[in-house]
Amino acid sequence: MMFFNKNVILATLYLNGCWMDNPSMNKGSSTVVIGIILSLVLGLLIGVVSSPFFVKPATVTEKITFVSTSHVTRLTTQTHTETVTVTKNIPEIKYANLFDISFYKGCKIVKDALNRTFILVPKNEQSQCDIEGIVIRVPIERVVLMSATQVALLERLKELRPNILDTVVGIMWGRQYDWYFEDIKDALLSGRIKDVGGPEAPNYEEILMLNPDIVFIYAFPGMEAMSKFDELGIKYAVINEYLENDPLGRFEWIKFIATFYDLDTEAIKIFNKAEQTINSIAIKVADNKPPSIAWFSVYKGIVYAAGGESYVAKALRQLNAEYIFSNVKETSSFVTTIEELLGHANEIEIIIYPGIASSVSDILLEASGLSETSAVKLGRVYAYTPMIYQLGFYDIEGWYQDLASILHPEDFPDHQLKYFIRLS
Amino acid sequence: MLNTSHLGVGYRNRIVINDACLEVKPGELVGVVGPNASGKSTLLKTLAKLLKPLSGTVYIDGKSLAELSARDVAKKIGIVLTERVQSGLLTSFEIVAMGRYQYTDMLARLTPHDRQVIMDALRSTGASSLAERRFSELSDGEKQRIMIARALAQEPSILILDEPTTHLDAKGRIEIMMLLRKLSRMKKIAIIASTHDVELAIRLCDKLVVCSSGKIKVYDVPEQLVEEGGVEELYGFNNGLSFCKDTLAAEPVINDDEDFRIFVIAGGGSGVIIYRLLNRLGYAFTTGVLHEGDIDFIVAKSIGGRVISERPFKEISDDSYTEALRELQKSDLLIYASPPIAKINQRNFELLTAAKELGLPIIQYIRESNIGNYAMGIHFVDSISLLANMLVEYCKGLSKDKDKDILVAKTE
Amino acid sequence: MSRIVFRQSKFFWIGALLLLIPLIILMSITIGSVDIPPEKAISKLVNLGEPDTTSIIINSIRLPRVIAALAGGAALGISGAILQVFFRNPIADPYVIGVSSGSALFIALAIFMGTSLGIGNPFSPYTLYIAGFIGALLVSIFMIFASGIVRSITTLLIIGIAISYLASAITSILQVISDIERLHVFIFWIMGSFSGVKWLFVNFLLISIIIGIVSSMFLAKPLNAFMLSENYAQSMGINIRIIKIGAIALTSFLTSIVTVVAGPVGFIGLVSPHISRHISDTSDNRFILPTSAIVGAIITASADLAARTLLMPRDLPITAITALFGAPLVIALLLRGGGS
Repeated sequence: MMFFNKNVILATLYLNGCWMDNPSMNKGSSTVVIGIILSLVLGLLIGVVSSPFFVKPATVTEKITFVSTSHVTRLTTQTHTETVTVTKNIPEIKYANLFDISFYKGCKIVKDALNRTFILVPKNEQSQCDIEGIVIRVPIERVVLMSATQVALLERLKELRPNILDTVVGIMWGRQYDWYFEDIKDALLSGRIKDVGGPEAPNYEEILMLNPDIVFIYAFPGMEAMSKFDELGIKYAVINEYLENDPLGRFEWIKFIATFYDLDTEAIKIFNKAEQTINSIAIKVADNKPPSIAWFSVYKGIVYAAGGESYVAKALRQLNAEYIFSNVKETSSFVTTIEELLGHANEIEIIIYPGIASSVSDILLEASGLSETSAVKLGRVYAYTPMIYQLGFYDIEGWYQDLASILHPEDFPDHQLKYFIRLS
Repeated sequence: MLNTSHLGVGYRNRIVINDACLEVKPGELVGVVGPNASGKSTLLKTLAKLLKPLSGTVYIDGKSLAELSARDVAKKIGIVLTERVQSGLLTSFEIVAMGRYQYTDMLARLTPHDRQVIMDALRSTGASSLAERRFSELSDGEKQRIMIARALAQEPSILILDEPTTHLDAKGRIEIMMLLRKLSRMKKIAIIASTHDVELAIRLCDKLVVCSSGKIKVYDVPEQLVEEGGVEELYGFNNGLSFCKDTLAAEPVINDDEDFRIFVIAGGGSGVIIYRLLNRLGYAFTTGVLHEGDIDFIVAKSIGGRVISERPFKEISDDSYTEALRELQKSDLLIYASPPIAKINQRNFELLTAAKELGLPIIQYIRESNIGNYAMGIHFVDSISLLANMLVEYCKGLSKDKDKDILVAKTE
Repeated sequence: MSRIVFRQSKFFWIGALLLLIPLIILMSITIGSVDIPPEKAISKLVNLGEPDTTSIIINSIRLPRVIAALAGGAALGISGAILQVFFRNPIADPYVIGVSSGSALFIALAIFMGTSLGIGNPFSPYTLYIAGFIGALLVSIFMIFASGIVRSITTLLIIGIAISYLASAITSILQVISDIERLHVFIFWIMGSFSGVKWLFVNFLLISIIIGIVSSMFLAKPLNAFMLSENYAQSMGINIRIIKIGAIALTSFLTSIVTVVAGPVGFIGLVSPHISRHISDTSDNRFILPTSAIVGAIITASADLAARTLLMPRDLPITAITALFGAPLVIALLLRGGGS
């Protein structure tokens, strides 16, 4: 299982519950202290061993403490920005916790998932900014992406900026996926978009040759690539949407990507529309009797279930369902036993298996005790369809719609499932 | 040179040999003998400083071994062990060159003098021609020579060898022991070698150290051990095994078939081969009349035959003759070994005649050297293998007949 | 005399192998997903002309990588040679002393338990290097300590293997209780690769290797004596304890550094000594240690070149390549040589 399609693995990072705790943001101080101690020790080591060779990394990680109450406008009007009152769209960050966009002295100040500071300066203009950070000239024109989720967000932006995908010059693992986005598929086949290796060992020289304005990456613990990018002077921004514990929080990262293209307004439009659609779905099912649902995969007797504070649990709560593990304080998926799962056997009305399965018996093979649940008896067992990994995030409203129709079929009598499949 | 005072050797808290006092002088070859697990190796390893003594002290040239540095010890003592050597692709020369360890620099580069010493060592063990051969491709005997040469290359004044003759064939064993003897004389070094081969040690060593039951006993004259009957005691010889002092040979005694008796008339060395044949086939035998000191007498005794004897150089007396005749009457078969007949053993011929008259089956064995010395009217063979076959066939029949007799007796 | 010719042939081989190194460096800096002709590569290497993307590719990507592979391979080759003689075991390799397992254990701890224990920033690229280094260091210290008190070298070998099992046991427990995503990260880490190696580590590696090779020459002479046996070595006046500690300290030091930089790179330490014994036709460690270092360097650098070019743009785990090409080679050598 651990060696299955990279596509699936990568996608599970954002759909199968969050990866892991979010230490740098939530656990704040203790992590910072330990981080400082470790970097001191490392610095000492480096200094002693090879001071003459040491290249100082370009990254700046310290916290900048200015408070910005002003709001970013479209940068085309930014000549006045400092004094002029904000008149237009407010890219307020409503759900996401891991990034921030603010405005300061004619530049956009962006914080990525690792709290690194970017100063987005419009092309052909001098930066007035006195903040330390990575300067990016916007709008960006050459981009390397690391994950299918980033592709999905750009595909959404395509609604309002049709040629946006022309900026994509490279995708990690690009040719490893089965793409559901035809334009990406074609561009990879024709070689216009380069496959630049796997996330654990990117093809650095190819990336260098592509000369991207920025590389969008996601970070995972133990990732080496960032330090090598630092050494090579390749600029990168970390999009850890998979760590957000709200589905809309994940989707909100569209604002992060969009701001590098100066497409803030467009992103806000897209986001608000999606939010409204989802809210209306939620309202529609709000008065139903909440069904009880189990959301887990099982492999070799080990149950991997979505945590009670994960984005899945959040979506289920929104859609008026009882998640059996809602009291497990875990923001990512967690490991539990089949016995624990069977403890809830008489409640489970619906089972969603976050993975590819061909029949109910596949699941019963691993956990036969589930055969007595009403979910199995009434045939309310669902699994993923392969397209969920790419399109499920792109089409977040569709994902909600599917989920709502699974939970409350009486309200959506004619709905055809796209991202889930009912198992027999 | 090397001496010990009240030395106790062993491992951890298990004492193997206690209170050992020993002195070895330059030019001496000292054999260390004793049964398995009697502590020979432990003693030698302690002398070579591979083990710490549990008590007492080893002195080299008056200095305590414990006080000498490892480097000095390496220049004083060379060792040859029984351990398997993993030589890989090393040549014999390279192995011997390792003996120069303490004399060479960090990269073990050899000076012309070192090469000289190495070649000398090889020459003195008769292994010069093996120098460029791979050590792993040599025979056991050749390997042993190289290992001795390696120890000699350390230019030691004491050479300690643990079982240098195991794994070797009879010739190799003798050659290695002879080599050690020669080296001790030629290089004026003290050589201490343990061995299982007591017979050889008695023959070649200047001194014997006998390890047994936690003690050592030093024999300045190895023959002393033989005369005292020490060898039998040492190995706990009992039925089934005997040690012949005269031939210095350990003899297996089998004669387990007491159903019938074979009488052998022999003398003057004519019987030795027949005794050994009978013993190997497991047949008990009586032989006579032999003169004491005759080789037939010595061998027959040592392998447990019943011997009717006469004092040396005396004519066979009536007593002996009568005894022989009595035995003959009880026998089932006579083998006549065609001994040289002279006046003093004339009556052996009479025994043969008596046997004919008794109707005893008789086989005469004639060695080529004894041709012409045969008695008329007797079935004779002239090859030992033929004799062996006949014996086996005949004795088979004999036991069957006996069984029949018993059956008859019972039915009656 | 035949002896002199014989010796010269050994030096000839060392020389010939050394000449291969510049060749492999040249190949490594010219071959890749971006084509750089050799003459351009060399001129960029010596900093002729304007610095551009090509010179960054050569100087910051390909050069550190090939140098790391050469240095790492040399370290493994020399460690393997030392340990095979030391343990009197032709299948010993640098990983029998448990260093990589210790390293893997601490990396696993950092990945699987790190956030729950609040150790470090899991996203820092250095966290796992530090964890790996601590793990390797702890095992090394334990092994050095054990080598000081254990009498028999075989016992030491068994202790090393036992530690490997112990560390692997804890690692596998951690793997079972972890989720699939973190397992995936862990597997990336322990597969072993020189991808993305940074100059910082390369310099560290290079300095260590030079120290290692120089100090290993102090071991060549006593190791030769060790080939006979421990007792013989002792009888030649060698301080067994110091050599034991020295051999274990040196090999665990070298192996730790390579493991931290590139993960466990299998097979190099096993085959390099065998190959060098074959080509130099001797077991004399004064030749085998340097030759094994050179052979290890060449094989590792070639394997790394293959690892990053065979399935471009994928980077393959280097152990896969070393075993894929090294195993048949060593089997052929041993069969032809009748097994030495």
